Amino acid sequence: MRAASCGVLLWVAVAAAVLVSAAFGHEGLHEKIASVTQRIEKQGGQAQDYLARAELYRLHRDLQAARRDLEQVARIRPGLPELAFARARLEFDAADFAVARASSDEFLRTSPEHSGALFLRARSAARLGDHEAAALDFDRSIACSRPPRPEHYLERARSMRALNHDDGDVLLGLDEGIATLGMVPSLCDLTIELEVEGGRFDAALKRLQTVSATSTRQEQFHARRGDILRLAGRTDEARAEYRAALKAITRLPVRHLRTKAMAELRAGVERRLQELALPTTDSSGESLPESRR
Amino acid sequence: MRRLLPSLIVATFVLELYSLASGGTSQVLVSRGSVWKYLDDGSNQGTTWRKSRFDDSSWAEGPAQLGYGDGDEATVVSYGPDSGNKYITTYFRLAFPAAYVASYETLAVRLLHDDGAVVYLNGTEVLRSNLPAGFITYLTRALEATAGASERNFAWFAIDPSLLKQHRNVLAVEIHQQRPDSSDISFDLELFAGDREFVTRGPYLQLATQDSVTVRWRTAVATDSSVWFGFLPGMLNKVVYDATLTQDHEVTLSGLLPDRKYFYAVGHGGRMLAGGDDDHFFVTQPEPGSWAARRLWILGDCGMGNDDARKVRDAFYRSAGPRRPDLVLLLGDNAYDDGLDTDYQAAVFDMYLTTLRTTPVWPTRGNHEVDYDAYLQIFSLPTQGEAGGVPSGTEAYYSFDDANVHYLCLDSEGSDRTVGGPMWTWLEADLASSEQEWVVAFWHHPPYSKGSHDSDQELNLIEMRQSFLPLLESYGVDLVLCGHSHSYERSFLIDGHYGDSTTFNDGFKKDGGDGRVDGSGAYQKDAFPNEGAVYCVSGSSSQVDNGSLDHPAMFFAVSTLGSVILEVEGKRLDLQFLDGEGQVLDYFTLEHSPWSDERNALAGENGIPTLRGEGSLLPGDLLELSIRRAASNAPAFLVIGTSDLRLPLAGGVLVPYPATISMYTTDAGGSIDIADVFPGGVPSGTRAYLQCWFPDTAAVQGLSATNAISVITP
Repeated sequence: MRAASCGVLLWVAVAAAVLVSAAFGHEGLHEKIASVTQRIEKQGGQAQDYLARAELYRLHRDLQAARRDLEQVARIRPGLPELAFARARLEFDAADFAVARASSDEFLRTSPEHSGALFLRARSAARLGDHEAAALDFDRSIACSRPPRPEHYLERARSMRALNHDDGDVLLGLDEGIATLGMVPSLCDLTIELEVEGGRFDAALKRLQTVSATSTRQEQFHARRGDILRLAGRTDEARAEYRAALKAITRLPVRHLRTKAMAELRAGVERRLQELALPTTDSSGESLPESRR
Repeated sequence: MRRLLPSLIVATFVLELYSLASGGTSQVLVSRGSVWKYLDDGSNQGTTWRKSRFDDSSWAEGPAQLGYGDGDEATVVSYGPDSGNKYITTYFRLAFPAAYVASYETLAVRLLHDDGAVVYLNGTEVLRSNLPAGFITYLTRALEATAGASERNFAWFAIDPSLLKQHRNVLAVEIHQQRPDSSDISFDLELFAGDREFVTRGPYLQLATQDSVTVRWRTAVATDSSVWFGFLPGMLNKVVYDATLTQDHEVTLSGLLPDRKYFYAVGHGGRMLAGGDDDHFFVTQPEPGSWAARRLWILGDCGMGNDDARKVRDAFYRSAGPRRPDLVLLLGDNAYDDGLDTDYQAAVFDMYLTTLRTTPVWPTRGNHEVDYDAYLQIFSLPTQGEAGGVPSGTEAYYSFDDANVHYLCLDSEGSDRTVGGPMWTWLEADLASSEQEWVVAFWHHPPYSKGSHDSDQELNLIEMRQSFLPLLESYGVDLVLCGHSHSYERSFLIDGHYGDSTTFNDGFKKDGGDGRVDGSGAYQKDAFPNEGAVYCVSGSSSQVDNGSLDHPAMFFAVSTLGSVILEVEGKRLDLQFLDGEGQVLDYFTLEHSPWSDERNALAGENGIPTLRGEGSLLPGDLLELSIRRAASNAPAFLVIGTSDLRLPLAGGVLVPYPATISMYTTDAGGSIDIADVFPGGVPSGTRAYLQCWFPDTAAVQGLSATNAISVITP
């Protein structure tokens, strides 16, 4: 039942978007605004025309003009369901998150499983510091999205963190995203970051290992592994990883070796190696062979 | 006023063997342009007019398309005396014969309707579109206004074949306006009957890799799915079957051999509906990393489905001859106005039918892909790195490998464009994982354009430039392809420009030439670091619009219909813009030289000595080294090694780890030219470092040196 309902509601969003585009040809925003303005002037202006122009103004970042058009819609057809969602989008862009949230509320009363509106209300709540409500709405938005996107899981995780949820719960949510969407970098990165922040270095390394196993290029992973080991106080292992990173960089084909990204990585790894202050002698004062430095 | 165009009148009763776009023997019972009876007086006809035996002899008649307000009608019908209060309903009827109806298993309608329509066959309602459920009266309005390309597009509907009668049948259609002041209505209809299901879309190819391809097609009614394939059209000896009943079929063939031609057919159960002939085949992609010659056809803003689109298409077909493209890229705004499923049918599937059944297509989303759900339904795109690259978790942006090119598709329309956002984070990981020789990125909104869109003014364009170009360039992107502006604009080889056009200057040009082998020379990316990309806007594949076309980053700009052909082979990339007449208006070549500049020159008597190498390092090719501005008439020690030492020496750096040292003597101008044939037997991937040192009294510590260069064998 939920899926069917979500499907219908998706079409509401599509229809609203089509409305903006319909009959305005293929111009840019300026031309589209001019076109609908002309129609409003010629035909007196229907609520849908003002609604469409408000959306165009919003996309154009002319929020005052968008607001004026929505006020006009409210005068002509105060009960139009799309009006509340349009206002929510507008006020979110205007950083008036309280109004954005209230308007989303209003729209969701008639379309309770509209994933876009749920996501917007969640983001508004998060901006207002009500992370509990935000997390709930992100959760519902994920359930109603087909398919959800990485943003859904990321923002839910942020809200959960803001609520001081246990890292395990946050990670569980992100892992759900990874299970649904695959090894998406933004999700994987955040799980590793959380493990590191929590001092669970082995867990972080394990996660990194899972990600790196899918890539033949390893220089970034060696460097990152070095960073984690360094934070864990395992300097010898960190040093070995940094050296492996440098070795992997030098083995790259020229075309990749000579990129700014690799030059920066190389410089960064060399700097971190220096920071690790290589010991040249052991505790008894004997010189260490290079392989042990 | 009524208007009849006799030249467009065709026989009402068409009964001929007809092969639909992609096979399946069927009969056209009612063709487009048939002559229909119609009633356009705004009267209330109740329900009796729908019946077969209704007497319509007093109605007017004329050929379809019938309607008013668009200018493309063969018969203009009346909307009444008041343009602000037009009749809501107009009625149409047509009698047609049918024979052998017992043999028909399928019946399908292709309907053009603006705005709403109800169709009755022999008095029974068989389809309703854009009208509310329930009882319909002559004042019932359509649900939505039909606009843009939807006014021109036919939509498929399957209907119950058992309603068809032997001999005489009657179709009755009512078209409803959405608003009394709406400007137009349109109506035309085709009716097909057949002994099997119809393929109404495709087949078309998706998600091609070196060992798999996804075949998609649509049928008029839901069936199971079968794809037969093999090395000969008459020997399709393998089959993949999916028992799921669906109209939108999607079957993935896997375990294929790389770079091999396979013929195929699609159907259901044991019945082939399309293919099994010379026209239905695909060629699997070469192994990733291979140096196979590849050819891409790139269409930007191709979605008008109009004569201009056909002109561009046919110019390419004429130019290409029998050589089909290996891939097609769509740069967004693929189906105007809104990217609806019906828009795609007309603008893409009907337009490029023969190409799409043999060539995989990779799209990006433009601002006119408003119905994003339709886009997602139509295309099968990688989300898990299935075709190379890193999982993006979304079809909005993705990557794939083709031979030695890594293609990146970004979403400049609907995804977060901020630095550090999910798309940006994915891109960084994806770029860092690629081992391919070339990186080509494409999306819709161009970072540099002064065409019908201005990259100084519009947010999507600015954000893509500011957020994504620094990342792409830091990983050495070679070529960026975009649409949106309905023109063609092509940059110099540039790097590092993220501001508006007023801040662009020659300093951002890595090569300010034309990039043409027969002009100032191909663009070479051999500098340290790997810098420079060419940015190409190609958004005129179905329409042109004006703009100042004066972005200073652009070498060439023209507001002309056309498409782009991209060819990549080994370390060479060629791009040309083919206009609607088949003329090549612009072209350039980009080369990855095997030579790299390692710098570390040490100044001496004649300034800073330089060392440059040329040659492909293929066995038997000429290898040339040229030294300039070294000390005059001085001994020269050419140091060659297979690794880098980078030893501080005499105020400079000795880069090669010396394996061999050869001695030469400079001439009076401080030059040496060395030429030899490169021998065979050197393993691929062998890297060498070269640098020349000179005793030089003018040098700070008595030695001068050229820059070092490195080279890797192909």
